[in-house]
Amino acid sequence: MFNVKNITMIYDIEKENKMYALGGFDLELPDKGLVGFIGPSGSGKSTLMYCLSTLKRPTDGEILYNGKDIINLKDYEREDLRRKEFGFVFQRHFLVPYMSALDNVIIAADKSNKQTEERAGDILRKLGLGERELKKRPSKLSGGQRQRVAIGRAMINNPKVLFADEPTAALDHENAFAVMRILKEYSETHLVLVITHDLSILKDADQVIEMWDGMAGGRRGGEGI
Amino acid sequence: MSQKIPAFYYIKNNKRRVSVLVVSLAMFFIITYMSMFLLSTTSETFRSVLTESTKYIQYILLTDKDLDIDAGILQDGITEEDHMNAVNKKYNGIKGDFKKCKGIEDVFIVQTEYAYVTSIVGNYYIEIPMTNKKQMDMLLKHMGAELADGRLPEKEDEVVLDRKIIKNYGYKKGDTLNRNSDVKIVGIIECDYYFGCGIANNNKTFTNPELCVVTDGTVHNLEKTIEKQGVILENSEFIDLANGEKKLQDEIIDTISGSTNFIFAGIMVIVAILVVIVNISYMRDRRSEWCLYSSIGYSRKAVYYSMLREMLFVFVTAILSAAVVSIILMKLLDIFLITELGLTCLYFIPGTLIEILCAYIALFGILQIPVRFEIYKIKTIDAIDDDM
Repeated sequence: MFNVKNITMIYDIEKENKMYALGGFDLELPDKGLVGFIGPSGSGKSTLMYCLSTLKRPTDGEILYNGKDIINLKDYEREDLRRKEFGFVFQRHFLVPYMSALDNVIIAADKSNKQTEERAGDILRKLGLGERELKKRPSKLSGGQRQRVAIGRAMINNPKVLFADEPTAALDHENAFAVMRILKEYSETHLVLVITHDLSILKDADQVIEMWDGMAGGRRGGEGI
Repeated sequence: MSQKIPAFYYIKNNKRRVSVLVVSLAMFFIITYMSMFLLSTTSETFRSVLTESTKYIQYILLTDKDLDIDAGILQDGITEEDHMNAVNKKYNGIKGDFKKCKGIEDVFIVQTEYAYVTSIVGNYYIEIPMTNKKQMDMLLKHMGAELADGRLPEKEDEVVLDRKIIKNYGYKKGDTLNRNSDVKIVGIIECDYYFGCGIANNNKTFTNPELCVVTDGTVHNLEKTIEKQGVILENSEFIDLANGEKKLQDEIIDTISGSTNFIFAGIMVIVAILVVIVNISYMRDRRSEWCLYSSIGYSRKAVYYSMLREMLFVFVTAILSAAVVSIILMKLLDIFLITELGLTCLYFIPGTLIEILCAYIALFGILQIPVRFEIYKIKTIDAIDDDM
């Protein structure tokens, strides 16, 4: 699905001390499956995810998505891609504080109608939220519930690629594994990219890519890590 | 991006915040319009005094020069009787020509008394024609006045006044018209105009003899109307519709407009500052929300349009609710205050409405500056994370 060639990302390019977030490497990602990116802080994993998801433009290199260059897309084309084909679970849940859990999911929907509302409710129920939680605002939900709502929002348009940046960072162990189970299930038919520095949550990953100093290193299968 | 960000999510879930904005904007409308409404009691009352009854009854105050009283006599001084004789002589000479004028139904000599109408700002006098019983009845009929309380004048020095004048001045039946006057109020009439009339005292020499010209409502400039029949009274004072309109504009409207402009501008500045500050603080709270929208694929334009829809809703709600509140307040003020004070008011003030709507449009435009600024500052989540 993704074909990355010599991707380079330099911060503070105009300054004397340039910072290489991505040091120029190649990467190929499948059409489906759970792919984990692991590495310490500053290793470039979040930057890579932002570049793949069109939120950032790399300084150099090429990113092909289904054979199409997505770096040089026009703004509206990038927005359209993010909206229709990509889903996002951010490190912080970024839920809209004044909206109910249900509305937080619907707001990301490509269409707004009765079916969308039903689908949003179905997703949240499937993610383990009760009827009462659907109408609650984020401040009234637990950390795990918030993250499930954020996952629901990411899934509402049934995206081909789901980007999850540290989706379990704010969760306890039990909730973290519950979230990973949901992502694993979704990855059976879609591509799910998970960024984390907690290796334990990637035990079910189909592929794990290690990142060090802006370079993608060894790749391992998830089993037995 | 075809999908719109629904504006009603914010409105539905932030009723208190939206209410603050709606109330602030509505207060601007209410305070401004109510101020103009209260000031209209002055302009409308004096409009009625100066231009309504003068459509049907006009007066000419003949000067000595037009009365052909020569300078020699003036130097020696003339008695009131001499003056009255000169008025009668002039009247007899020109009344035939007057009656030939288009729009003039009758003309006769009256003694005039005065009643005062006091508004919120200042007061103005009204001529009260004092004449004989027959002409008084004719004047009452001509003005569409009907007796509502008491009786019609039967004797000399008796008058009837319209209920508005009675309420305005605080007269009661049996009161004299003025402190040093013998003219007694014997009845109250209902009339569309500030009007009153009575029976003159023939034993007294007329101190204020005037020509009373009864018209059909079409005479605007009495001086020009009579000139067409060759009656030239170039030195006399005409109390006609043209004169009333000029006095209304010069002495009332122009005087009030300074205050109204000051009130309007003052309220506008205060409300603009208040609304801009409140709006900016609310928008700051929504930066993360907009960054989220941008990250998940909404364009800045979509975010901006959702803001525009929210603002439009707030403005339209403010205008409609303010209009309803203003109508209720005006009705209550009219019933319990303005009518009781014998004043006239105007509910629909097109000029003020247009000014208020223009002010709202200007305010809407001013608010675009902070909105566009905030929209410009929208980042995607990655940039927020970089900042952290």
